[in-house]
Amino acid sequence: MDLGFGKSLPKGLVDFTPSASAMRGVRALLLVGGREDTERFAEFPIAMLDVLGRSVMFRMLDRIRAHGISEIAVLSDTAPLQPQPSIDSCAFNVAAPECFWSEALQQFRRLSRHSESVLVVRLGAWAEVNYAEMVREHRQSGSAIMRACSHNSEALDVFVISSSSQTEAAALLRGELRDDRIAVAEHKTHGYVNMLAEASDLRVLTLDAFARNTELRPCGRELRPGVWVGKGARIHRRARIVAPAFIGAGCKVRDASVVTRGSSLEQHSEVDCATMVDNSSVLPYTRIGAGLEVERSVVGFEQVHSLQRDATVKIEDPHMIALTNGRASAQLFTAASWFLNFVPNVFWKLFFEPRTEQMERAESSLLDKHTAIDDAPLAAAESQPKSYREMVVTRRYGNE
Amino acid sequence: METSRPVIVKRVPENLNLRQARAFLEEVRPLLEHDRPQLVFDLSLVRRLDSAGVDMLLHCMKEASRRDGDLKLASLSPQAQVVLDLTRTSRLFETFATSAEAARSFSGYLPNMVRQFHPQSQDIASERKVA
Repeated sequence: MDLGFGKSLPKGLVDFTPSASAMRGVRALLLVGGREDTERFAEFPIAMLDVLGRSVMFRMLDRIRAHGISEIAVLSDTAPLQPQPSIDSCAFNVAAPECFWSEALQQFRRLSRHSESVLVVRLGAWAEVNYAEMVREHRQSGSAIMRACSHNSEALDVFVISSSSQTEAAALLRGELRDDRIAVAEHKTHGYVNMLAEASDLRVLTLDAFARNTELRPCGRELRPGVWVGKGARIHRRARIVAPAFIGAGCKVRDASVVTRGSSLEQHSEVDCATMVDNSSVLPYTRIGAGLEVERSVVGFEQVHSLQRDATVKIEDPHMIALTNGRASAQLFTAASWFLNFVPNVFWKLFFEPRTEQMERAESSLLDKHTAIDDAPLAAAESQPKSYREMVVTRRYGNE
Repeated sequence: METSRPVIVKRVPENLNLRQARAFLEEVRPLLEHDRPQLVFDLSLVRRLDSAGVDMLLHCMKEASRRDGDLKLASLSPQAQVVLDLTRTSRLFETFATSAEAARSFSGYLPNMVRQFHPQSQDIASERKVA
């Protein structure tokens, strides 16, 4: 491998240092959403959801900046989940879905006033396009619009539009970037592409990031090889984290829980006692209850999308899936109210409350003999530690 | 002489939260109190299932197995399947694609069969000891 000043870099690292002249006169318009039917999870554009500590939208913003484009306008049809520092240095606008594309056209016109061309990227797909190369090819071809396509000729919503081609740009944006009648030159990219059309694609992107097939890297400290932990995350000493795994900032992983096989817990999410998170993505501010098993799923905003069953289920039971609050004051208030409720209950149960009927029933159900066991030929079955009936009882109370 | 007993197929309501689960339990309680009840719960309509609903299903299975009977689940909707997977209870129930299949599965089970198989199992154990 050439470690000098040549082009070859380790896999996953891309040289984003285009010459200053290459991107001079280029501005960028980043569109988030614009499709109401797809690319959403729980009403949120997938591009706004976190992947290993940072949302796809902010990662794309960083990527465009790294290519030397400093003037960027962002237009979204949904407000971001939380403010982030990098949003301050660019114009961020939220438009209602019905006027999203007309607003996009307005933004394009504003950006094209003092520039040579405008890079229009819609998220949508996470596409690792070399923008410098695309702009260079656009200049050489002399075409009004150049569109990027993946290595298997899949059209991507990444365009370079000449500022002088206002009519074509207007037609393209009014057609929601889907109008096939407009003549566009194609730029083939060989970078990583993930269409992010559904929740399962988010999972694929996470696993690809762990496998270093993409430029995305986990935002956190690598505590052990393959285990990244964000700022302020709390992991119980009896919890088990199996690499590769990502525990985001402010997350809580409680006693006897297991996080394994490429799972990611995004910021301020919680995994309660004895819960297993296996090959799953837990979205920000999500609390997973005790004794559960989350397997091959995307969990968040009180919803579970099972990749195994290909089904999305809304969970309204806060014992299973709930939303947490990221604010310290709200967490303190919740903890205080829980404590004030818990302590008197414990004292009452210890000193005053008689044995409840439920406890007596539970004990009797464990001790009484099964009708089948009473029979003489099956007396040997009594010596077996767990009959079918007892197993159910054990599981039930084990969950509690 | 062993005679065949009826298999009761019961359709579970769309919502199975605490209130609905209690109502449903009251509905099926007489069926569970039969001798050796053979029940099939059809979960094709279930859209919302919470921990109270899962607890009710476990309670029904416990009651059925106490009386030498069994409870089987059939036509699970994806929603029900996801919640049962999430609560690790899917492995406790015998599940079938259709109610008919679940009902048919009971015909292979007769309590006397356990007694018939028992001497054989003893023989196998004695053979193992000899080996």
